[in-house]
Parts: sequence; structure tokens; C-alpha cells
Amino acid sequence: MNKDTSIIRIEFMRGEEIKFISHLDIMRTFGRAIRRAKIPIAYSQGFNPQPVIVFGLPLSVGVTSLTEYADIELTEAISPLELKYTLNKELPAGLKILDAAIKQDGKNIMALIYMASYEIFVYTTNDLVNNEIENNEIENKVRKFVRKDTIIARKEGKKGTRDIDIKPMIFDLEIKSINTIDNNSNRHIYKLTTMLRAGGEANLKPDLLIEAINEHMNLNLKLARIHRTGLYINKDGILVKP
Amino acid sequence: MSIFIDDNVLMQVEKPARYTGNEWNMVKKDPKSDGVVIRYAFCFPDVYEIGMSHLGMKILYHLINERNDTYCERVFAPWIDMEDKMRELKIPLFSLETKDPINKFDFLGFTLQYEMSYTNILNMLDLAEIPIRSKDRTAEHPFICAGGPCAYNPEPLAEIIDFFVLGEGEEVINEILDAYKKWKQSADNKTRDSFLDLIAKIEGVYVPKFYEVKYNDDGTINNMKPENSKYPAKIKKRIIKDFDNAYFPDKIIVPYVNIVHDRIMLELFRGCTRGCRFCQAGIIYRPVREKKPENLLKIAEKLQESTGYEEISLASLSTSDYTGLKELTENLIDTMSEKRVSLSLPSLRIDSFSLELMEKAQSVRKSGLTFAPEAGTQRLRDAINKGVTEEDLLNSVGIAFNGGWNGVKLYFMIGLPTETLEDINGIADLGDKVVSSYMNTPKENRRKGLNITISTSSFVPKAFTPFQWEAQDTIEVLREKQRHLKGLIKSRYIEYNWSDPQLSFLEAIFARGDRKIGEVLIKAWEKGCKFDGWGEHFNYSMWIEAFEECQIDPYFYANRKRSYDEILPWEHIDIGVSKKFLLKENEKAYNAELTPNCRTNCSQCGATSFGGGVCYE
Repeated sequence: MNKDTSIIRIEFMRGEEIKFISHLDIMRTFGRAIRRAKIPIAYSQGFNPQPVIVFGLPLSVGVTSLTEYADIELTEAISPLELKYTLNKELPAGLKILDAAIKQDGKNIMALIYMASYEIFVYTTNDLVNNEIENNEIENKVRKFVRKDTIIARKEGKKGTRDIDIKPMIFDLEIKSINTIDNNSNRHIYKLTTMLRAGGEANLKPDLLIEAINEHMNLNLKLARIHRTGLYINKDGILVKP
Repeated sequence: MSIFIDDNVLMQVEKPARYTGNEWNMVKKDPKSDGVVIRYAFCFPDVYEIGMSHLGMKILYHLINERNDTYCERVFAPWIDMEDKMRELKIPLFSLETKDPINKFDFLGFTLQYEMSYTNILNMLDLAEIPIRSKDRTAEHPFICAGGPCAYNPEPLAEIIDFFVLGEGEEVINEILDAYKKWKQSADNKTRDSFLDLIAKIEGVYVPKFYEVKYNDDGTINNMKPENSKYPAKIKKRIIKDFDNAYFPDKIIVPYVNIVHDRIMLELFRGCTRGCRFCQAGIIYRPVREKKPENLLKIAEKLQESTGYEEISLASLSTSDYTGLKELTENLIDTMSEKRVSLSLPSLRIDSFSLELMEKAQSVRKSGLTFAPEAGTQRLRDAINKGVTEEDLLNSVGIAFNGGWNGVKLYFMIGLPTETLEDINGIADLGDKVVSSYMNTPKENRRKGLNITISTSSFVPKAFTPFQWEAQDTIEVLREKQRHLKGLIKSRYIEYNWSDPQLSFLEAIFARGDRKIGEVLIKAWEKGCKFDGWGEHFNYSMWIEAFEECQIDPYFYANRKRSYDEILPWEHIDIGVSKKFLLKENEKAYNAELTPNCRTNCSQCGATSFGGGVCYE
């Protein structure tokens, strides 16, 4: 069988119900759902064979997402529609396949992901809530932040912490103040809409971005919620959906 | 009324999925409709990953939920980080299914798997905003019940638990729930006692408050009897007579997070035919009752389809003794390998059959094989009725080394009754002999990197064992024995591990404690003791302070040899096995005399009274 026709790329969402589980847990959850659905998935060779499913970009614990991608390798051809239908019946609440298609391009999804878009909700607990001056100040500071030439941030990696310039990884960043939704506290919520480099070559996580904003602009924004709104690949300089 | 937990709280704790539920096969019911009249919280007094690995919980959870009138939900002990948040934000303990606070439920059922989880029970009650002591609870509080192996000596928890269920819960729980439903609808449902009175007459149910204990001047028990003759003087455990046809769920919850036993567990049989004299499980689960291989295969298939699990394990006390092992494993490997499901094997008696089996089962790495000789000399192994010889062991490791295994784990106990230094020396000798066995294995057969682990745990005398009268070695003596053994182990291939004698000491106190030590338990918890089974949280000095403040002598419980005519705190419990049998077994230990296993010869232990199992095969 032609290998390319045996790989199905799925687009799926991760909702609130399932956002507190790790990437490893997601992988296991898919593996077990695929077994229950009796989808003819390929297994890796070796002592401990694993189902061959490649995910686009890991999602951190606590993050929801509108569009995630994974490539599932099959041992016999089934239609993408059938896969979507049977697998959705076996997926727990919070995981849902939105689309499935035969993989067209050569590289696997993990190698292709280039950019991710996010909605990041942050809040301040200043006493001066609803103070327009303060609002403007925070918004201005964030806008100023993006205009900087270099932005050095401390990134924790496998080999310890190192300083990197994250500026080239921020492609778009907008901030908007939204009404206090939490009546019990003095929280004032802001929504940041952003496009960040993602994937194996360069990857900027939203929490690191917020840390950098706080450090460089002397703010104390706290993370409330992160929602991934899209993943993109770079096709000849144009961002497209995988 | 379900509790709202802020995302920020969950983001700040380790493994937040411990608290969010919603796993595959979780039972969903609408507690407000659907005719649900009973809310039951199944409480496991340890963290999620431990509790979710417990087979009994899986069975009872689904069994209770078969009832349309009852919703059984799960509750685990929140880890320290989550507890801090809950106390700070005044979040009461909630169930994973509905996130409702459990203090409005009808029942909280705790499973007692090990003594060192008792402080967690108190902590969970407190987090649930339920009074710790049974006598302080009112009509608006749930009934607190408990079962499991430690319930066979219920006395240390007598002030805390409203009623105990002795024996196999599957057999009793429906009778209790039926009685509750009737009671709730009756006119006489105002007081807690009216319900307890009702169920105290169900066989296997023990309501401690209806029993009085009188003590002698020396602290031993003078007598123990029901306050009213309408309650049974002896509470007999319940068992499932027809285990082969007993309920077993065809769905189990598949957790998101990696739990300790993250696989399908097949229970081949209950009980054990062996009768090792230190082992409580070998006595309390008598008589042995098996499931038939064809039945187990059906269960395995159904569970695999409903869970998608990639691994199945065999769970029983001494799996090698299962009469249908060959038929079961061969068929399991056949049907499961095409589904890419591996079979994980427990430690088996090593012979050519089991070795071949291990070759076929995919999940076994050729590194570690486990053996439990328990004692270092033949004399002591005979004294504890561990029917294993040195020859057996060396044969087995020889076969294993020739088959390409290079790791062996050896488990021993120190402080066993009749033990002398010679027996400790024997442990080191046995280790050396295993090394020699490897060295004598032809080089072309053996795999490089020999790695032997010797682990010693400290003997804890348990209720309803032939050693129930025995004294535990003091902490100092146990330490000295550990030091001695450590000094004898010279081979660079052997690693020696030992358990904390302070923990074993406390275990011994609670395993054979009476009602009086309930106060110590409460005091220790008030001081902050919890998660005692987790090394890093065990605080020995806090426990000792608690004993001192309650003026209770811990050595009286752990280190005192009891006489045969002393009334033991669990004497009102009837497990089917007679005191006469245990006494005889104790005597035989001192003569290093063996008792054959149930299948070879019946030794008249008394378990025939249940009318089923191996006694009638």
C-alpha cells in the first residue's frame, strides 16, 4: 500500500472538560480510543510497540484548543470520514474530531507546524479597577513591548535556563481590555490575541510571553486562561492550515 | 450545588486531573432525577493514582451503580497541595462525578487497605466538614461505613466509623442499601440509631457502638459483648459462595493520568491455599474460590473492548496456584496478541512452563524476576509455613539465568517469630548462592549485568494469623538486625533495601489495637499526621507525642507477647477460620512443622462452614 494514502490527518479540538491532562495523557487517550474504535492503526516496531500517531504540537496542561492536528498511520485503507465517525464515538467529552483527510504532503505534522495563534486571558488585581488611566497604561505598555527590537527572556530547557531573544518569534500581539467577569474579586481582565512561532525549530509558549511582558514592562499580569485558536504551516512563505 | 473550582487552583497543583473526573466509563447519573434516592461516596483514603488501581473499588463502584436508585461516586484523599488550597478557599471535599460536597450524601464508604491510611480517613472527614467521631454526627450527616482487609480488626476505628462491613462487599452492600431505602421512607427515620439498629441484624454488619468493652487492670480486655441480646455476639464475615458467577463489571473507568496499575486486572480467584503463618490475606479470604478460565476469557474480552487498554494483568494472591493457569494464559495470549494487548504476569513460581509463558507474554522485560523466600534458613521457612526450599529457589534462578534473565529480586522478612541471628545470616548466604548460580551459568547463555536486590520488610503481627499472639521486635532490635545483615552483604552484585522499622512499629500497633488507641489516632491527626504511608510525610515523633499525651503505651500493643487465653480485640469477629486452628498453627511454627496446602490435605481450619470453594471441590 502506498504509504501516503495510509496516513490520515485529523483536525480535533480540546475543550474545557479535558484541558487539565498532559500531552502524554492525550496520547494515551487517543491510543485507547483508537483501540476501542477498532481502527486499523499501525504499530511501531520493537520491544514495546506503540500506535503510530504523530501530534502537531503538544498542548500544555490547562490550555484549550480550537484546532489541533495529528497524523494517524493505518495498516489498511479506511475512508477519513469513517475514521472520523467511528473515532468520535469513542473519544471522551472534550475531545472531538472536526475534520479528517488523507495526508497529502510528505512530512509529518510535527515537522510542519510553524506558527500558532492564541487568545491569552490575563488579569490584574490592582485596586484601581475600572480606572481608565490604568487600562490605557497596561494596553500601551503591551503595545510598546511589541515594538522593542529585542526581547530577552529566560527560557527553561532540558539543559538548564538560557537567555533567548523572543522578539523574532512574536508575529502579532494585540491587547484588549474586557469587562470584569469575576464579581468576587477586583480582577480586571485583558485579552491578548497573538501569533507565535511554534514547532521544532523555534517555539514560544504563551506563558513565557506573559512572563517576558511582566519583566520588561514592569507589570504584574496573571494568567487566567489560554486558548489556542489555530496552528499553521509555512507553505512557500504563506501561512496555511495543515 | 456542585462546587466551582477556579482554574487557577487547579493550575497550581500537581496533576490536576486527579480532581476533575470525567474519565471514560465514568458513570453519569442525574442525582436530581432518574429516581436516584441514595447518594453513596466511595472513599479511598489515599491519592487518586493509588485508589484507582484498586480492583475492589472498581467492582463495587459499578455494582452499586447497577442500581437505579443509587448513585455511587468516587472520592480520594487530595494531595497536600490541593488540601492546602481547599482549606484556604473553604472548598469542602467533593466527589469526582458531580463535584457535589459529600457531606450531603447518604453514605461515605471507606476501604481499609492498610493501617497507615487511617489518618487520611480522619482528614477526609474533616475536609468534608463531617464530625470525626461517630457520636457527634447528627441526622443531617451521612452514615460512615468501612470495609476491606483492615476491617477485620475494626476496633481502632470504633469511635469513628458508624458501621463496618465484614467480608466481601459485593455480597452485603445491596442488603444495606435496600434496608436504607426502606428506612428512609419509614416513619421511624429520625435517629441515626434506628437505622443502625436495623442493619446490625444483617449478617456481616458490625455496629461498634452497640458493643461494650470492659478492660482488666493490666489493660487487656475483660469482656466484649453486645449491649442488647438482639445483636449478634459474634459477627460473621460474608463471602460469595459462587465466585465463578459473581458480578464483575464489563466496563471499568479508564483514567487519563497514569495510575499505579494502569491496566485490566483479571481476578482469577479469591483466597489462597497456602497458609503462610504471617500472612493475613491467606487466612481472611478463605476458602479459595476460583473463576473458570472460559469465564475469565469472556470478562477479559469485554473489558478490553470497553476500555481499549493495551495490557491485562492477572491479579490474585498466589497466581501459580490457579488450577486453570495454562488454559487461561495460552488462550489469553492467543486472543490478545492479535489485538496488540500484552499480558503482564505477576511473580510466578519459576519452572519451565512459567518461563515459556514469560517468553510469550510480551510485556516482560528480561530484567527482573521476583522471589519471596521470606526467610533465610530452611528451619525458619518451615516455621512460617512458606513451602519453599533453597533447592527450589536455586533451581528457579538457574533456569532464569540460563533463559537470559539477569535481575533477581529477593524479598525477606526480618523479626519473624523464632528468628535467630543464624536466620539473618542465611539471608546473606542465599544472596551469595544466587550470585554463584549466575557465575556457574555458561557464559553464552547468561546475560551481562547481574543485578540482585535483597529487600527486607519487618514482620508485623496481624490479627487472624497464627502469629497474632506474637511480639514484634523492638525498633532497636530490628535496626540492629538490618545493620547486621548489611554488614554481611559483600557482593557488589547485591543491593540491600530495608523498610523503616518505625513505620512497621505503628503498623503493628494499629493492626492489633483495641478501642483505646482510637484516641491516639485522633490526637496524631490533630497534630498533623496524614499520608503516613508516604515516607516523606511520616512523622514518627508526632505519633509518639500523641501516645504520650493520651497516656497510652504503644509497646503494650506492638512488643508484648500475648497469652493464648487473652481476649483479643477482634475476638467478636468470626472469619470462619477457628482460633483453635490458628493456635495449632502457632504451636507448629515453634516445631518448624509444615502444614500442607488446602488442595493437598484439609487441615480443618473451619472455612468449610461457608459451604463453598476449595473445601468442596
